[in-house]
Amino acid sequence: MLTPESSPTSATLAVNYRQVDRKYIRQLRVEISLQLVLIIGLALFYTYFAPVDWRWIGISLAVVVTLIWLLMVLLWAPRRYQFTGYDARELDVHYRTGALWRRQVAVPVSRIQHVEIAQGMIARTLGLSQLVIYTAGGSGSDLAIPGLPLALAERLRDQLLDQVAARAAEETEHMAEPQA
Amino acid sequence: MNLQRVAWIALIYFFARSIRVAISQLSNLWPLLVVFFTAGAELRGLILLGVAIVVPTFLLVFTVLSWWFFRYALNEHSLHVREGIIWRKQLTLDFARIQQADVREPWYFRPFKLAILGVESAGSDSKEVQIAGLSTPAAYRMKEKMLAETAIDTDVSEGLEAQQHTAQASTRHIFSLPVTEVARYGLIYNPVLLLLPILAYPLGQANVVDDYVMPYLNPLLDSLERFQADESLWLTIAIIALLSLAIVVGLSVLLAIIRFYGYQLTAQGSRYHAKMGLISVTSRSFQYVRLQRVVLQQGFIALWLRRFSLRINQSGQGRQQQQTDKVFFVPVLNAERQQQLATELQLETPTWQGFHWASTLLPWLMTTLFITLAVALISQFSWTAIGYALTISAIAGVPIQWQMWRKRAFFLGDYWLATRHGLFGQQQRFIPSVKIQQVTLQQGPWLRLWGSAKLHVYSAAGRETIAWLPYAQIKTLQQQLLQRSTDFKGRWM
Repeated sequence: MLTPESSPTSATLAVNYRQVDRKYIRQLRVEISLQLVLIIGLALFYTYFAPVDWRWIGISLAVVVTLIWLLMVLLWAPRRYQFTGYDARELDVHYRTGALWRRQVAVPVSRIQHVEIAQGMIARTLGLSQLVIYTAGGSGSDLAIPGLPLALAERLRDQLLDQVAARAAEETEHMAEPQA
Repeated sequence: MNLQRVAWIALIYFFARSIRVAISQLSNLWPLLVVFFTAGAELRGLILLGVAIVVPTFLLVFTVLSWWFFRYALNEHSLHVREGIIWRKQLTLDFARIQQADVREPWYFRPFKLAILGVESAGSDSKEVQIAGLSTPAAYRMKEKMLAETAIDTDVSEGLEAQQHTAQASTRHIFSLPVTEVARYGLIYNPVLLLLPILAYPLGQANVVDDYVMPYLNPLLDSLERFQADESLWLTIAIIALLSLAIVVGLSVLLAIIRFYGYQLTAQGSRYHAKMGLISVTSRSFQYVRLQRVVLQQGFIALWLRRFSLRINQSGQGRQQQQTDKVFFVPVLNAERQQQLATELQLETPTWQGFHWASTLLPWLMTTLFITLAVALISQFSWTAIGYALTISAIAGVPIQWQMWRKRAFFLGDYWLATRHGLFGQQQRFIPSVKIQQVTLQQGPWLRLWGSAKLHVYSAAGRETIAWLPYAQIKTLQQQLLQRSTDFKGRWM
């Protein structure tokens, strides 16, 4: 076997997902509303100026988007919040999300390149922030955990950076040993 | 620090670079052409004169100055480069972070025994530097020195290459490619041959020929017919077509020979070198410990010739795949050499595992609908055309999807995670499972309906997808991969 000290340390234990802040629902609602209200507004704007024969397009678009908006605000946002969770463990970080398209992401701590805290405008007014974990796998491989209170995000970041440093030290030790 | 200048012959290189820079800069100025054309004749003459004098002078001065200000120094553990006329750029590359060092001997340098050393550092902020105009032996010596430094502590950690470091210093010859093999590359990767059917298809489908080409061609043909009888004309056209095809193929073979002539693969411990080229000699190398992905490729023509080509990606190269000249590349491999290289790289022989047949449904439906829609638009919604397109694409889609489904597979060995896909040929990708950066499990409503899931596996060279396995199996696979990457304490980059 490759790794003689292969032990049931990390991945085999069940992941214990913690939920993000409840205010994340509000963040999702505001974000989705901003996007969809713009489309509804454009549709109504079109209806107002379009010739009478063509108004049905604008009206039906506005109605459909309004329905989608209601669905997303009332059903999708709470459901997405319910499925959004993270677990930062000693050797790996887990994150899951998605109401319909479910995603479960896992990053080994030893592959973390750097950690960042990002705050959008809406998130900032709610006191929320997003923890972004970068790996060497390119843009798609970065992991962003949204809906974290700023203090928690900072604590998680520091904790992760400590873990990364500890892992790096362990690795250099491990590499030095067989040489001696 | 002992900063040095490169040989003055390198002015050729700097001149070529200045021209490249000038073209890319001047292309931004094309709106000024308006001024030129609207200006009066007198002013126009003045501008022309100015351009004829100013541009070459500027180029020459720029060339000489950029050569003059380009200095480099080689220390014990790092390479230091300083360049720039007005904006000074200083760059220090630690040998330990260098992931690739290549020597190129372009044709214009070869008579003077000079070479270009290209260095690339690893990591997320990878940097690149080219030192042109070093004496060829010095360039190779520097490259050796850089790579020797990085090799010191790397081999130990990888348990798999234990047998390799006994032969640490001595160079092993792995294989050379004879000209006949290299020529096959010209046949395999013939861009024009690949384009022909793609170009011919829409031309044959749409009425482009009838509507646009024929009106122009007809008078021409009529005039030709006055001189020749019908049949001999078509014969001539056929011969011309065949001849031009032969010329294209011949050219592509010639280019392949020029590029890969005398391809030689050697190894020093766990460092691999390739040297190739007829007119300009290129050398490329990589270290086993920095390997992030191996791609075995077999296209349509390669399948007939029973050959593969092989690419080795290092960190960060997944995103810039189009720059094939920076990737470690073996153009043609017959079965024997492929086996040899697989042994060298310790690739496991995969026992492929396929995916659920339902993975074909959505692609089949989408392609059928797409083709039908395209035909509907082209034919301006003629029902007969739509009917034909729907039937034909639906029926033809079945064997194509079935074949693609047969080719789609994955394999998880002791060290490698491999995926395979293709239609006529195939592509196999191997990534070291212990170097995985991230694993994402995905499940949309459609996959959930089938009790399946999808796994995105990110290596430092890019993403691999394993989809349409039972959810439980995908979940286990994710845990397994994560565990391996977590347990691995060696150097991965």
